[in-house]
Amino acid sequence: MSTSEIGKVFLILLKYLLPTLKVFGMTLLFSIPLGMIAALLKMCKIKPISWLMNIYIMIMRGTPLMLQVIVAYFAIPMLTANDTTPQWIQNLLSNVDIKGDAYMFRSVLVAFSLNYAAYFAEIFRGGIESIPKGQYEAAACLGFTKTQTFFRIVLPQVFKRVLPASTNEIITLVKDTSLANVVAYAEITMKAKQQMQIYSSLTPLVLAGAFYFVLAMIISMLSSMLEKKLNYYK
Amino acid sequence: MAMLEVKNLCKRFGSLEVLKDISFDVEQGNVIAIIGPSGSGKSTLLRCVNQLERADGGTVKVCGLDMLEQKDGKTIYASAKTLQEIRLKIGLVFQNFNLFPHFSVLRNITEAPIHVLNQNRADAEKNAMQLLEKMGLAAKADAYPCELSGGQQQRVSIARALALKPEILFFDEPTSALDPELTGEILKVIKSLAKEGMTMVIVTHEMAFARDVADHVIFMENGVIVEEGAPSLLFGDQASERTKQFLQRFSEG
Repeated sequence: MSTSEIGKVFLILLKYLLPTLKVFGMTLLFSIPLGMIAALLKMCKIKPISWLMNIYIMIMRGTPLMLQVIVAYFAIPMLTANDTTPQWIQNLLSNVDIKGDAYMFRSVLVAFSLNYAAYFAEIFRGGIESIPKGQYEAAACLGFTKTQTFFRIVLPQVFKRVLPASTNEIITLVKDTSLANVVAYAEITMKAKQQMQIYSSLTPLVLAGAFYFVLAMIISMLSSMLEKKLNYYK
Repeated sequence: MAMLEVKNLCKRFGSLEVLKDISFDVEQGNVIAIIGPSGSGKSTLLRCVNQLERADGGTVKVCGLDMLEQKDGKTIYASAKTLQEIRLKIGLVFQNFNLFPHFSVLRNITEAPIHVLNQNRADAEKNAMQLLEKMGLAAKADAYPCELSGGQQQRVSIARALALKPEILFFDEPTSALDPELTGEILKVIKSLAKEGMTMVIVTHEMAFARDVADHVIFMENGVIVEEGAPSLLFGDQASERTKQFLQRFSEG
């Protein structure tokens, strides 16, 4: 490929960086709070709730994300087209607009968020459980409510403890966004594949790789900066 | 006036009876030392009074407020509101300090006054600085717990408990996690609090200290109070055989 062709491909990929970042950012936005809720529910003393969370986490971690993306995308059209689907589900789903890019993005986001929430849930649970019992006891003796204890005493310490493991997940997520191309969501990997075919060259794929690489570098740099900032206590 | 009245307190862990019918009173200004071998139930007793464990029977009254009562053969705890009120009347100093590692020394002390008692920050900080001054740690206000020695951490945790102006202060083996050369500074602080008339209940293995500072010593073993009385009684010749035996074994190490 000539330099100008490479430049052209670079600009195309740069344009599709946005949809990649959209999946990445929105997934984080939903999966981190969802993961925290799932972690708390899994630690819930009411057994059925804890079991339900366990099953959810097992399914999400035990099946491929690519498969989950496909299921999330095709579930609604398949269910509405199937005669054996109960009528009330048909009615419920008939209002969903299954055409267009918005639907595609939403189905990708649902699969990604539910999947990553399961991984975050286990990281957060480990973090919460690693806080010594004495912290809760000291807080109780000082009159803090359970909510105050969680948000003032426990959560800030959990944040520091889960940062390295969460960074791992976040870096994996950057690269996993490429799985969205399985339902033809237009992002960097998909465009790189198209350009590869147009130019019969591997260069677009190398460029795509460079994009992911740079993103991963930025995340790991931000994370180590944050880790250093949190190093003021042990 | 009795600050603390404990009657027939019982606590079981499964089938193990940890506290069997414990009764004792603490009057205002009293310093009570609780001694006894490990596993005798001393810490559990403190934890029951401080609501860290649920008792299975008996009554507990703190500063005139009923915390735990017996009604129709049932053990009834007071309402959440009363329990919170009681909580704020008593302070507990832990064996391993349990300071909040992510807060500075000052914030460890001010956090509860500000967010539990709704004091304004300036007042809370002024009060905290006075307490730190008293503990000889004013220079460490901005340090973090991990930067302090064990003895300094324990003094901060005493200041943290005092910041809520408790009526009674409990100590659960306050020097057991410290190097021998650091225990002195904690014992000195407790002594000076005793001089100010602070009501205190101290679980301790420091026999010389118990004899020195306490008005009343309780010797516990296997969940019961074996003997109690003035230090001169328990540490003297009139003490029961069992108490003598324990103290003797203790001094032998």
